[in-house]
Formats: sequence, structure tokens, C-alpha cells
Amino acid sequence: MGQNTWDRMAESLSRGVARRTSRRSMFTRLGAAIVAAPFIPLLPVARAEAEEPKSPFELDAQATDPTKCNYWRHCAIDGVLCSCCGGGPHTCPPGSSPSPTAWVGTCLNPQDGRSYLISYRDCCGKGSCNAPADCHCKSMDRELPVYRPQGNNDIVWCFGATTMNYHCSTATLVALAG
Amino acid sequence: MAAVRSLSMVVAAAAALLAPAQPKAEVPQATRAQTNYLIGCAGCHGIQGIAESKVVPQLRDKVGHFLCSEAGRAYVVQLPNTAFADVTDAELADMMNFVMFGLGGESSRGGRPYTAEEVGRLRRQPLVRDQLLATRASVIAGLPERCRAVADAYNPDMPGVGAKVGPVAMQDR
Repeated sequence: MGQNTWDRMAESLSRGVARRTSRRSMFTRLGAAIVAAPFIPLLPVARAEAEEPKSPFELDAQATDPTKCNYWRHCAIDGVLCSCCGGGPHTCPPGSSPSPTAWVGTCLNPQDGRSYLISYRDCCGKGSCNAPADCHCKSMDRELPVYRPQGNNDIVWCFGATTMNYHCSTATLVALAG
Repeated sequence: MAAVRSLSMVVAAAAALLAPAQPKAEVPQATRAQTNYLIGCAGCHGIQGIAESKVVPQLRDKVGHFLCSEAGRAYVVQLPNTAFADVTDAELADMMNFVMFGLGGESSRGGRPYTAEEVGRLRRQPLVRDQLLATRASVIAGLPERCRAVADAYNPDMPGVGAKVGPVAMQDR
């Protein structure tokens, strides 16, 4: 008897489905689901990352002018931009030379929303560069306290250079952070 | 080796980016282990593991020799900057394996990779009261002869180091 009840329920369900739907409508719905799927965030991890609040630097960052403090690669630079001193974003001005040591930070690129590793290298061996005030940057995204010196930008990164005279700072793109 | 290949890609792309004429060159994707190395170590040890050996030890083609003895493999994990690195045991093991086999290249031939368990145990006994140069010398002296070439990786007594790497570094900008 129980068997009959289940049979009847299954029969009425499948007949109902057959009455109300067509193969064509099934294809319509399946197609709509396939098209819509990429727009639905599936992984909670991805959502959590997207919701991470931006730092004040990241909110103001731009990707067009590398001679400004708010250029996105300068998210953790502390010092005078070498571009303002006769050098380039990653080249030392004449008379100064790149320190053999550098420190590496992580910056968000506003153009693609991805994080990149940036190597900050000081140019040494020459006195301070007389650059306009807006060339003096002090951004500190993900900077660490001085007792974690490899992640700190308050110190003069001229270790191993011929002199500890600080001139200016450069920023070089290294890789996409993993 | 895959790690070496991907590192050489990092290096090639970084070199390409240094040329202002090619700002659109493709940027390499670093693995998690490479990222941890780049953030925590590469500033001084070099993106390719090539450092000025008067300032910091060179890793490239050298560091793998420390895998030749148990004391050597313990020493590099117990160094303060390794032991206190801001990463989990598993991340530190992955990063050390990248350093040893990726950067160390041939010098790590025949070496045994680190596990998270081994790294976790070693880093809880960091070298905090040691004279690090003396410890380093005695560890190297205990390596089999074929592995002692690692001694060339660091020559801190050469001119150019010393007093300059001192309190002056803390001067304000």
C-alpha cells in the first residue's frame, strides 16, 4: 500500500511537470542560468577580499603620473621622489648611486585591482635633493615598525652603499603578489 | 626546476620593466612562497638571491649547501630573521624550500626539503644569544668538504662594511 502511495505521488508530480513545462522552456531557463552564473560571486573568499577597506592612500591613488606622491606604486615610499631630482621613477640622478639594499612593499593597482610587489631603493652618495615640497612623500601602506626593519621605510636604506648620505627614493615593479 | 624557471621569469620581467621604453611588459605572477621571500628577504638578499656579499650573504647557487648537515639546515631556520618571520610554519617551510631549491639551485642537489613540522620545531629555538658570525663559521666548518663553498657567500670583513651600517642609519630624513 505504501508502495502505491509513492507511485501515485511520483506519477502526479511527473504528469504535472509535463503539463506545465515544455522542453523549450527548460532550455530557456538553463541558458539563462548559464549566462547569469559568472555574475554571481560564488566564493566567499573572493567576496571577503573585495570588501577589504581601502587605505586612505588607495582611495586617492592614480595610475597616470609617476612623478606624484599619489602614484599607485608609491603606496609605501618615504622620501623624495628621484623623478623630481633629475632621475627617473626607477633610476638614480647623476652623482648618486643605488643602494645595494632595498625594501619591498605591496601596492594595489587601481587600474586592475590587483596587488603588486614594489621594490623601494634609495639613491645614496649625495646630499639631500632640493625638490619641491610635493615631491616629499610619506606613504605607509603595510609599513612595519622599525623593529621589523625589512618592512620599515623610516630608516635610510643606504646599507652597503659607499656613504649613508640619502639623496632620493625610487620604486620598481617586481611582480604580481601571490 | 619550475621554481628556477619562474624566478628567471621574474628577473627577466623586472629587467624589462627597468627599461622605460617598455612600461607595458608583462608582469610575472609570484607564488605565495616567492611573495613571502620578496617581501621579507629580497630587499637585502636580492630579487634573484644575488646580494652584495659584503653587506648580506648571497643565496644564489650557495645557500643550498647548508642542507648538507643537520646543523646547517637548523642554522638557517634558527637565524632571527627566519625564525621570527611573520608567516606560519607551513608558509615558512614553503619559502625556505623556494630559497634552498629555487635560489640555491645546484648547491641544494640531494638535499631534503623542509616540512612545516621541522620548521616549526626549529624556529622555536631561535639563535638569539649567539655571536652569529662565529656560529656561522662553526656550522660551515662542520659541513662535508664539498659543501663548504658556501663560506664564499658572505665576506663581512671586507672594506666597506662596519661603522657605516650603524646608528647613522637611523638618522631622520
